[in-house]
Amino acid sequence: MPNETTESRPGEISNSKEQGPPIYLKLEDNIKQICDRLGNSPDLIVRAYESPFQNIRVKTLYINGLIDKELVEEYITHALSFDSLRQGIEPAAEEAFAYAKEKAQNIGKEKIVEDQNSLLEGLLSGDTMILFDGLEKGISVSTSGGEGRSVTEATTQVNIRGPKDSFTESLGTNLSLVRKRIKNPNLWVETLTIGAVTKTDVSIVHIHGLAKEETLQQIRKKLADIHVDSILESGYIEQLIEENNYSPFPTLYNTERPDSVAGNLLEGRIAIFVDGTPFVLILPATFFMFFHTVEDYYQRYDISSIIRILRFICLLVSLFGPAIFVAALNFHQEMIPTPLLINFASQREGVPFPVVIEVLLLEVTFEIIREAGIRMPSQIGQTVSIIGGLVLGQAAVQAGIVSPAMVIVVSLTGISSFATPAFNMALSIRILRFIITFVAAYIGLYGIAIIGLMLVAHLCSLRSLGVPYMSPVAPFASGDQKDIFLRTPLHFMKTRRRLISKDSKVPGTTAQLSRDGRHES
Amino acid sequence: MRKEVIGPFQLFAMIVLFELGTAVVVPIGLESGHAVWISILMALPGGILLYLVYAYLYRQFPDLVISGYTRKILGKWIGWPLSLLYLPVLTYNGSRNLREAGDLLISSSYDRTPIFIINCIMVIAVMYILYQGIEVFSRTAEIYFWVIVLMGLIANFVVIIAGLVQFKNLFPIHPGEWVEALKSAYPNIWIFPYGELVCFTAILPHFNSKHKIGRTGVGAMALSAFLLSFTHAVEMSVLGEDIYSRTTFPMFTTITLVNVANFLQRLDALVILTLIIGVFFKMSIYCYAAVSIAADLFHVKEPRRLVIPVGSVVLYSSFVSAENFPLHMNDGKVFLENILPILCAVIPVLLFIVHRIRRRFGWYK
Amino acid sequence: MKAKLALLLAAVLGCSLVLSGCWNSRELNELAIVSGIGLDALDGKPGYRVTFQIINPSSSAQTTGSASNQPPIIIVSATDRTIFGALRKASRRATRQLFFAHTQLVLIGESLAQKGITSLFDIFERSHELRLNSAVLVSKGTDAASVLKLLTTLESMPSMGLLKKMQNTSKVWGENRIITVFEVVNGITGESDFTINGVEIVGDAAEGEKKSSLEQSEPMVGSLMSGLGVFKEGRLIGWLNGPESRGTQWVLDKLNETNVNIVSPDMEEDIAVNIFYSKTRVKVDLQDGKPVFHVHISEEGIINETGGFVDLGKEDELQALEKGIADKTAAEVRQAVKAAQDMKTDIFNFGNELKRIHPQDWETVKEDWSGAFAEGELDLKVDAYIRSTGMRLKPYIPAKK
Repeated sequence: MPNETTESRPGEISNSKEQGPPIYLKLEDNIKQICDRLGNSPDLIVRAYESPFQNIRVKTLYINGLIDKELVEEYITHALSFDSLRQGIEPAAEEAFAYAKEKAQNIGKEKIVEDQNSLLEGLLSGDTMILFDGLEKGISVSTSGGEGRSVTEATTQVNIRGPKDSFTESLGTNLSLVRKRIKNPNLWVETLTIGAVTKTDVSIVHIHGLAKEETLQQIRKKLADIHVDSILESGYIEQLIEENNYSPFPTLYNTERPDSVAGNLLEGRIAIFVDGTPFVLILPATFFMFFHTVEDYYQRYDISSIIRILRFICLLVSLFGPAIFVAALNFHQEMIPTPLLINFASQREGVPFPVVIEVLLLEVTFEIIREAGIRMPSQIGQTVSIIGGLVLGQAAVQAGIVSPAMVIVVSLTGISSFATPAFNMALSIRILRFIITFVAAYIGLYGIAIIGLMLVAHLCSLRSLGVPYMSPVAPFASGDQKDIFLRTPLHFMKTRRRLISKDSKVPGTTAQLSRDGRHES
Repeated sequence: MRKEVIGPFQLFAMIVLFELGTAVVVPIGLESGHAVWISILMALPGGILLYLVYAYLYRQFPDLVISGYTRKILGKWIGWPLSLLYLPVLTYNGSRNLREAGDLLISSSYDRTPIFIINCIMVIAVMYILYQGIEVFSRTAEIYFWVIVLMGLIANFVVIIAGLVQFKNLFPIHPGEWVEALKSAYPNIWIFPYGELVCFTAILPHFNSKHKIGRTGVGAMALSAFLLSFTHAVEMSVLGEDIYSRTTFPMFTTITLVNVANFLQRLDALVILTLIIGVFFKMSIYCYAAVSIAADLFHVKEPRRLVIPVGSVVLYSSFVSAENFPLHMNDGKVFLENILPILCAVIPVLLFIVHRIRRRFGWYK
Repeated sequence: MKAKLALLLAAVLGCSLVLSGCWNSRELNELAIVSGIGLDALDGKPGYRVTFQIINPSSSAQTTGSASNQPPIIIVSATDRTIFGALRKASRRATRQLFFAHTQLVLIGESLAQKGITSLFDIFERSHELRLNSAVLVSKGTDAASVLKLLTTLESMPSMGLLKKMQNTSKVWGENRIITVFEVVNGITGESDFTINGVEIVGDAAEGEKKSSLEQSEPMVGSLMSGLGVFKEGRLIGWLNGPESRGTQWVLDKLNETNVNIVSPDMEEDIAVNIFYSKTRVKVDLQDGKPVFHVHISEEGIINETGGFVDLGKEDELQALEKGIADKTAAEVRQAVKAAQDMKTDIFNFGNELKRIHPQDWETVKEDWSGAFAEGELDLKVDAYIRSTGMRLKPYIPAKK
């Protein structure tokens, strides 16, 4: 059952809702109107109740599948039987309304609706509506529920050690998963609705006192500025609020792991939850975040540090691997040790293509196999990769179309790109790899060096909500190096990241978070 | 628009990269024979004094580039044409760096590639980074500072474990050689590379912690002097005076000799990368200085717009300035001995003195 | 408008850059990797006959089924006044462009060496492909081409084989050391003279060019590292062999490891001592206008074999043996210095050393250094230590009554 502890502050940022036509006095008119507006949809359920009183006619409306049936049943049998009202004389409609509203408080959040638009909106987001004949208002009870995926294991960010739960498509469930981890009143949630048609709930979550106020303000403003019809996934939000649309690098982090969100919130970052998707956005994101996983903190520091270094090596390999190979083979044969060069030369005897064509051929093949494998059901996906990887590679080598060394290089780069924990970062690296390979084929090592310089310059020019993307390496902050390339022991990590969190005090004092946290530039 | 700022470590990294720039790859101070590494250290105090003059002027006029305070100190009528002098010198020096990089790349690896292409690619990268602004540039410098330090460590370590270092090529230094070393330290090494820091007068206005200016700069200069001296000492000790003085690219020749256990060999890439990175940063700083002085002199609101013109001028003059590499080196010598000292030392010191006098006697309105 | 202009500019620039092509790009199968260069003099004519040993990659190919009977190397040669001219002329015979960055060996024919090699090495310095750390050898009693043509067993690449042979022997025997182009150039430009390793052919050279010669357990021909060629003013003037060449390495402090057979004073049997560490310090100064060479060698050895009874547990026995080693070393060194003095050739860098430490003194003898060197006096001191006697103390051989 979704637990409605959400502190919503709609007064601050609400999409200006237009006041619709008021609710009619006559019950039938209302029902007809609603049916019309929903296109006589069969999933609108209208239930009438024989109330014990003649003058009170009540109908409940809900949309099948969006509500928690048990709740509705319970409510109807208990509240609408008007048990305690039955002794006396016939109550006025107002009295019955007040009674029903009071009872509704036991069930969930309730409110009075007075116009048709909010009535419809409520219905569509899973509320149950109670309409009284002769009253120009109705009660909306939050009974949303219905069928949804239960909390399962994470599929995109798998880990060995650590919690196994992952977010689902339900915003309420997702928020509760985080709240279960951070039992602190300072975990604040703001919800707003985005999308003119889809009316998607979007929640901004932060820890008050840790997140920077300016950043929050910026996010609120950016979200309020979104005017689109639909938000079907957090990717929409991501693309609409990121600053550098023309950069291949993602400047927002996304995760489906509650522990990752919790950890980032505790570092002073802000999370954006979107209803209908298990992927939560985290911002501001920095480049190095994409190479960290939460598991780094669960394993011992020495092992985690080595693994992190390995990931950065993999980053270099997957970016520059084929490019360096092409440059060395085509331009700088003098840099290859003699026995290796003879080995390469003998492998390349009879290969009909230039090195760069060979690389591209294999790289593209690899991408095809990968893409085909992803969209397949998992069993077939494996078959695809076996046929693609093993059979094709072996056959291509034996046919003399490509050289064995090239297969090694391309598969190594391919595998290295999977070592990047964040999938969206791995994607952009793959694209860049092609560009760098082209440059290397054009002018060798010099080109690689120059494009490397430009790439670093580009990375340095990015910002994620005002935070330099490459921080804390550039601009360099010596105090923040403990958790970048290495993962130092937990007791060393006494301060939070300066540019990201508002308060870089010792994490142990989080319990006494004050509202007037020190502001740092 | 927000003013772009750079922090102390960023300035530090930029100075080190600038100093190492080309000086680490080309032979310097040939007159001093095998004592070149001592000359480099000898020239350091002079370099630091010069830097302190720049730093003093910056502290007096924290928001102005050199052309700005030249006009303030010497008056508009002398200051403006005098500052104008910096433009051709800075662009020419930038183009010289580019030319050197191009020529070294061509003679070491790209013998069939036209120099135009090599230089063009470099200039495109420089224009790109300058277009992003000084902040992005300084952050990039910060990252590459570590890259250069790492590569330098690897290269030196490899040369040393390969057993190539022969101390007898460095010692003993006879009395006459000390004098020679001093002669090549002043003015040659004093001006190149230390005096060239005059470019930083265009960058300092972006510096964000005024009180750290002295410490940062002096620290960076000391570090780069040490690195330069060490590298040249290693090169000298490996190659010997004769080959060192004849080679155009001693670092490259040194690294080609490395062979550790038939496995660690052919590390030429390290040197080529060092060359590219060093020249890239040095040239970018020259171009940046030219851009911001030009913007100041001609009252261009958006200095970015000058990046492409300045880059094009540098590119053009890089290959028309000299017919071939020896001539280029000869030009460089004349330039280094006659023109650079005026701009790097004489004018700043003059500004310093005039400013002191005017302030002392209250001649500022 | 502005964006369009920028785009146009970028497009034009991009096209001009991309379309003009990859100048330095060369595919591996367009290259002929040269593993060795042989330089020979032409009879009665100026100029060189340059022989290139080219690696044949398909002979070592593992994947394609045609790991054929082709020989691992191909020999191409050309003659010209300059080396570069010859290597360009060789294109008339070679299907692929010659590529020199992997040249392991530079072989100089004996006749060319006698004519003078001073001008040979400029191209090695000037070219970025040729490397300064290729090893240099002089073919003794034959021309360079025939050494390059020899096929080897065990190592598929003959040049590599020869290089390894040189490495191996300099590591454990010490009569030769790897002498690279770099050292030769330093030798030519320095004040002293220099030596270059010699290599000779054992057996019938013509037989060694055939692959069939490899098909027997004892190859009919082979190359043998032999001695050091002594160069004076760039000309080969003689050879140092055996103890003389080892003595030279000793003075030059280039000895890694070697074996010394010593004869103990009261016993006739040989004792093999493996010298595993040797350090030489050299000082040169002028005394009464004559150079004096102070050479101080300290060496350490392990007794590896005794031919008769020695009580290695006894201190005085060991000291006697240590003295034996020192004497033997001293004898070899004296022999080497004597040979060099006879040839009036300073191959020990004494001249450079004098110039480095005492430049004033050097000025006085500079004019006739070879004469002064020949007159010079050797002040030799050898300290030898035995560090271990292996797995046994006393040998099983009984003491003589």
